[in-house]
Amino acid sequence: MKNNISLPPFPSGWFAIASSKELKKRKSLNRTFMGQKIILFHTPNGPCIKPTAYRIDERDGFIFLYHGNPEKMHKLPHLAKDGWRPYRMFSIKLKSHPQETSENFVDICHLSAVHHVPNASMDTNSFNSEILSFNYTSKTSVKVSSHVFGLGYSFTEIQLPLLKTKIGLLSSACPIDETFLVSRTLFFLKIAAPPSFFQKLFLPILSYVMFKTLCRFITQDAVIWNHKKYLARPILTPNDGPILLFRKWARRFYE
Amino acid sequence: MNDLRPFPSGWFVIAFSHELPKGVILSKTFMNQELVIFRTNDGIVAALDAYCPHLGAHLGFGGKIIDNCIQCPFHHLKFGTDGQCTDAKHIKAKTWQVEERDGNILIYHGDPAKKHDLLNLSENGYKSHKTFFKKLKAQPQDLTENFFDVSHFVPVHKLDSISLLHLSVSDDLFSIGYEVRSKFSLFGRKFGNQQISTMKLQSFSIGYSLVTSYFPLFDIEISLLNSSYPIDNQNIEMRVHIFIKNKPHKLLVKLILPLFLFIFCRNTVRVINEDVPIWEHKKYLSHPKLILADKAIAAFRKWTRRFYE
Repeated sequence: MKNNISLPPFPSGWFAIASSKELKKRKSLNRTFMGQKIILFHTPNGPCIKPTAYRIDERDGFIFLYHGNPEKMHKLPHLAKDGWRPYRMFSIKLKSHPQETSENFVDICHLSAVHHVPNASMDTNSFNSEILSFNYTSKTSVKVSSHVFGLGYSFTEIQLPLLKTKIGLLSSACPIDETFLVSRTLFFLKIAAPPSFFQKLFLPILSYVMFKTLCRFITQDAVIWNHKKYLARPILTPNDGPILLFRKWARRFYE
Repeated sequence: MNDLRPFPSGWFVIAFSHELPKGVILSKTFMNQELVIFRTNDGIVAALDAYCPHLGAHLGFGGKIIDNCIQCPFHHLKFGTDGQCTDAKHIKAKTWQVEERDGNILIYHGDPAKKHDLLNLSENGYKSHKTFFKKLKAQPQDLTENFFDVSHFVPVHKLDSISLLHLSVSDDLFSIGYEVRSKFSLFGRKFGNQQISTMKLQSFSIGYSLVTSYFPLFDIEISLLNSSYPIDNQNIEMRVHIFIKNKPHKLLVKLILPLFLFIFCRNTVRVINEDVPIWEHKKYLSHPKLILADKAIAAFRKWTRRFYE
């Protein structure tokens, strides 16, 4: 019955508890973070939290909380660097675990089954560093790369060469309690300057279509996440991505 | 005394055939375990562990029947009715033994060598009439024991009189017969003591019993296949399948039969609903203080020990 061992509920790392925009609009927010009720305040000096047990940081449009050993705390990197323009946020409550949602980055085979993306492949990556980086290719001209920082924070870049435009997805799976989490994804756009006539004409509608498509991807995954069980000993196939390497890498967040 | 016992062995009705047409997948919790029951395009029924052994997705949420396999929504691995993955030889899903009989889909729990026989009602002239099911906070034993609880019929179900006709116990069958009598009420006075029906209750296991009522006045015989399977340690799903025996009825009986069945079914539901509040709040006493009229309960408890071994 070794397959019934479940993951420890709360990995260490940075987790997005709210978007900066939400807090600015509402002045204060009541949230539950890892089973604890907290209140976030908007002040001129930046966001504040009560109780003050958690380290708080605001970055790239999200407000992050740190959970874990303060000595092992890593600096929160700027994943969405210059030139990215925030577009919209999509959030969804899931019955899942941050490691389960993050595992999708290495689960290359689910792309065709769940999202109908055929012939996708990914480069092999070293699992030694704190931040994992992956490049994905498929039959289409769209190039995708992801940077995974811990289990609660990732950035995915989608290149649309035809439009000379990039879409960025800043994503975070923030545990509410031992059962639920909220997956928040901020969408960014990066347009080659100066925008051409062609871009000006098609970008608003195209970015909206892309946003809706990617939201659909997340809701497709949500159905699986909400009902799946974590198998400590999965029986893998040769086509599967580096699932076990990823799980070994993820162990550091439970120490 | 602990009232939590292990799950009893035997066959249990987990679904009715009409709930599971070709290409449909049902998700069930059976004895604390998640499983999927499905029917392939060839009509074969199978039960598999709900979680894909590959990466743990639930086959019942987004899974599909492709040819004669169930396809996992997560990576599109396909599994046959024997649990074998057709895409990777080394992957096999856990299967459960299922059997389809008389419009019921039955699942077996326990030692495969000790499997008891199933009835064959349709081959013996019975016709399916109606089915219903209900989720309850109870134990399967509570419901089956109820049939053999002679002294509860008068206080709970307001019968005028019920008497024990016979009680027989064998290795694979526990059977009891009753005679139900009723008085007529006219202008506020009660007359006579007319025999209404005889009832025969047969238990083949804790989750598989047949209650046959015979109404001599009309020569009508109705059988109820009663089965309740444990969802978890607290809850059960009770499933009742009503059958009617084909008989060369007189014209008058043929005419009143639909109305008779309607009243019978309504009464059955009423009788069950009279029991439900007692089941949902009772406690299983492993050492009950029995009275003389409860000798059938004592015998039934002794007989059912075999299903908890």
